[in-house]
Amino acid sequence: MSLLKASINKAGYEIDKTIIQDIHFSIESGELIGLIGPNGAGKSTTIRSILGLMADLDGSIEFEKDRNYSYVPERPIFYDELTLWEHLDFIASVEGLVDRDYKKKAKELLDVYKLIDHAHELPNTYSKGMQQKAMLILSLIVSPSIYIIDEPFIGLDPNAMKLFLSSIEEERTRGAGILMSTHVLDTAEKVCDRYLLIHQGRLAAQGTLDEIRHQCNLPDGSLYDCFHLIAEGKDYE
Amino acid sequence: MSRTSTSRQQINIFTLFFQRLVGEWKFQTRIFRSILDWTVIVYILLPWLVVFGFIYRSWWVEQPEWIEQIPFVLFIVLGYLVAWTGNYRIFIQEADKVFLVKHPVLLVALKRISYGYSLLFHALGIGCVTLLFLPFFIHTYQYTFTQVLLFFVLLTTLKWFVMAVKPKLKKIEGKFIKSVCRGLVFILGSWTIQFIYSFWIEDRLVLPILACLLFTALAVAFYAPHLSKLSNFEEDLANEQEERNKYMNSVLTLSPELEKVKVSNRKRPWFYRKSGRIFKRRSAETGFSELFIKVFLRNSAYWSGFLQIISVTAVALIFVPPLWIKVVVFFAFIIMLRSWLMSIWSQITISHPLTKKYRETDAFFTARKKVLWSLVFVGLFMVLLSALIGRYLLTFVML
Repeated sequence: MSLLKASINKAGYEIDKTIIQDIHFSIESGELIGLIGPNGAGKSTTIRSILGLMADLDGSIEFEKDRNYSYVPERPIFYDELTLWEHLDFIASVEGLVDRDYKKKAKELLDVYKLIDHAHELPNTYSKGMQQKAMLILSLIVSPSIYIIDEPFIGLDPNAMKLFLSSIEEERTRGAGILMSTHVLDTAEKVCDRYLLIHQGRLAAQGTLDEIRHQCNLPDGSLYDCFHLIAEGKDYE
Repeated sequence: MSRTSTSRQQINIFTLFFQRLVGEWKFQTRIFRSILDWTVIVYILLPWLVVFGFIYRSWWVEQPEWIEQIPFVLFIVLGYLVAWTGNYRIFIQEADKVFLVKHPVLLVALKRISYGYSLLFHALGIGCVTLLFLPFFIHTYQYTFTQVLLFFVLLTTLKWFVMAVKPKLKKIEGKFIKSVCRGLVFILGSWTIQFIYSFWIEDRLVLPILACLLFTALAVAFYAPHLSKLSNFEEDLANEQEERNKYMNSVLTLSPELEKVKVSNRKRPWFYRKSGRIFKRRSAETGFSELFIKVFLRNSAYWSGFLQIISVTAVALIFVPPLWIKVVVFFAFIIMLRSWLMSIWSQITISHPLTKKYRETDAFFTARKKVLWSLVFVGLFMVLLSALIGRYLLTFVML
């Protein structure tokens, strides 16, 4: 069975105001899927539908039994009053992580992401890049089966970006499935296994890069060429 | 050619100023309309204004008895406190740092016109208050017209001066030193006003007139250079937004259903600085409890709300005489505190994206029950203790 099976017939923030429709896809173990689309295409609505945050959802979101997920939002969100370590501590306690193991892993992650000296500070005082890294650590600490990541590259410096990609690679090797929404198409082209191209609230194309090329009728096109063709609304079928 | 372009620029800047001014008044009106709907305006506010009109007219004919109990110095004290309210407005907006900042002449002109408006606006405010109490000043205290006029001018110029000093006080680094300086200036100012008052009351008006001139000169000298500077745009914008939103914030603070969450700039929290744990035993339940307790105690909006509910109840228990009302107040307090804490719990846990996904777990409900009832008992203990101490002190004072 797939780690996640999304069958969204239609979804919207208000009843009878559909934002996205006919978006059906699944995430398999060890797979990295790029959720691509122009601004306002419906990427965030798709993610919110998966997270169960839509007021009006016609369809089903099925996670494989006993599988947990981590969500990394585009804009980091923390408690103003808790230190980064306290955030980790809270997640570890509610997720039932073994104390010694989680502390070891937390220290490793903080060390790798160079936040060990800031662990007892309030994350809302961090720089944008540090906040983004802190958010990634909070998602990595639980070793989830599925990652849902919204625009991870915004605010990350090239080193942090490389670090993030290697963490993602490790998690894929472990068997985690990842859905990543991004506008950084050249990076997405290099790292993703499959793509979901959303345009005007619908799934305009999906599959591997070759399949997307085929659907767009651009045999030698890059992901950007396919994206551009779809975003400009040309007839690609 | 040059004259044409200058006059066109002047027209533009006045148009811009009036646009901002109208926008500002609409914004503030909307805030007041949010608490005063038309039924309140028609059935309460307007009749009250009409009745007050008649009362005010009667003050000119015959002064009420209660005014004889009030010493005039109280008006001076109130006037001094009013002088410490308000700030100069410059009507800049965030988008100005992208667009208007490219036209420094226009930006400076906007600030200057707004400054002039602020001077007039605050003079008008003091004028209205003076006019309100004018029947008492003339008939009850029997001051001359010149003295009353000088009272108005003195308070107005003092307000201008204080508003010019406040930005300078705001710039002082360090919370403690800033508070001390502010306190010192406030005390020195009150002494100065007392000194001037001693001359004014004896109709020796030269010193008060000189004081008015000095306050005006200092107010302009302190604030005017600030108007032609563009380098402090961010600071100006922050002050401007604070002033613009002050009534809205007051409304939010007074609304019990809207908890105003204060955001701290601290790098580390006050207590448990090294992220220490409150509960040694780790479980999902203690995780939720610890999260709530730390957030609640580290955010002054939460614990001050808690103390407010307790203090209001304690005061009611001390001063309300019939026992049955005390009992009603006591039980109402328990229900109110419990429901208030429940809304804070939801705000901290369910409304936060990080915690939201755990809201259906058993540990969530168990922790909520334990923590909320513990806080209700803490509240009960504090209310009873404060009421007992207050009652004892009251009896002691009355004896």
